[in-house]
Amino acid sequence: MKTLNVKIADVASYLQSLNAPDIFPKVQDAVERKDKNLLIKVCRKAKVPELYLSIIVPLLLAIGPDQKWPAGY
Amino acid sequence: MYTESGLKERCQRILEENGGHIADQASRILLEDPKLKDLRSPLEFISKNWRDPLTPSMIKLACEAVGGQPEVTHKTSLAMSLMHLSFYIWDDMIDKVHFKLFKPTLFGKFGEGIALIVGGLASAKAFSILNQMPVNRNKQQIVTRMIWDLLASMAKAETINLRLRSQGNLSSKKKFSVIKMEAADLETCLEIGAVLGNGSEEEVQRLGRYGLYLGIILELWKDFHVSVNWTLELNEKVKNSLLPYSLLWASERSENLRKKLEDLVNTDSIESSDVKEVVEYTLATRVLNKSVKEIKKFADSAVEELSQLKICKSTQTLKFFVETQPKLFIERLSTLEDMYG
Repeated sequence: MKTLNVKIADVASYLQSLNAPDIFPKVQDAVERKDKNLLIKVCRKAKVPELYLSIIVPLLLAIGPDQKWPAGY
Repeated sequence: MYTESGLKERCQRILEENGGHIADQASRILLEDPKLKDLRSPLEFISKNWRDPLTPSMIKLACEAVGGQPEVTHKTSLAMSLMHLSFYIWDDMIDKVHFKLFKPTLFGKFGEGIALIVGGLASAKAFSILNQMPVNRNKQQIVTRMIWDLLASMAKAETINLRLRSQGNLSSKKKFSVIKMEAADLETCLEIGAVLGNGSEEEVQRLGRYGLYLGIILELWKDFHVSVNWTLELNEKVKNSLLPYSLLWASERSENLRKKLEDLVNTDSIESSDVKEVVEYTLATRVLNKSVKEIKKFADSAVEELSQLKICKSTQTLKFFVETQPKLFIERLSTLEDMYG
């Protein structure tokens, strides 16, 4: 079982991998359309493990209009 | 197994009930001005992507907490929200932020010129609305002075940030003082609400401190997420030597982290593996525990300020809201803790 610290660092690294030039536009498109299935597909292509999809996909789709609160969603 | 507590939804409901209407008005007001039809596209972008129910909620609740009539806060809340829109647009310009978690910023999508113009219009509109405040001249002068003090404080915070960018990184202590300056916007909102509600000097000060502590909590929360790259800004922050507070604090305690950050400033591209290493070194300093402790401490201080005021529905709402923030900070991370693997 990984520690919380390792899991937080994993999320950081998988998010960074989505920033790669060949992946970024696809993620941006899925986020803009709020298309969960498309985003899962793109994340899989970027080799985000299944286990982390349940964290990363909601994190990216939860972003609504920019606002001060809640700060961490 | 992790389950959502519903606390986030309750907080959202509080903000919608108290500030939703003004938030909608603020996000549309420039778009609906026929004189600005040449700026339709960027103003539509703002209307779709920016909304701030927190500012009007806090002003209204502070006014009610001292027994005032909330209607008197409408114009000021709208003006303060528009002023926050200016800060928000110009902040992204100053920090050269083109995207936030895959969504373009106004500056990223329309460029510097349009961002400057829209930010300026939002501020100008804010001051024209302030002139229509339905209060006496004396109170109008007090509120205008408070807003000017806030603008001066925000300008100071940005100037320090810019100076530090050219000088390289700073100490965590100095960065915390910048966080405090940035939190002054909520301090001012609560003070203004209390002034408009005819609160006593003590009530204005206590509610102001509540706002300051809440502002610090929100800044620390955001800062932690930047430090662990959950906002995808870490790469840029490291490259531009604009490290967040938590990362500065951690680097003062970890030789490995300090060396890694020094190496990364001089590399062309930062890989996922580099980010992972930075975050692992950061968390090894127990910075998460420290962040949780600090956030709880400020929530307790905010509750202490409220405890000195008369109990009413609004003070109870403010108490619930600030007490919930540390729980929400932890709850978000609990989704990971409960994940198998």
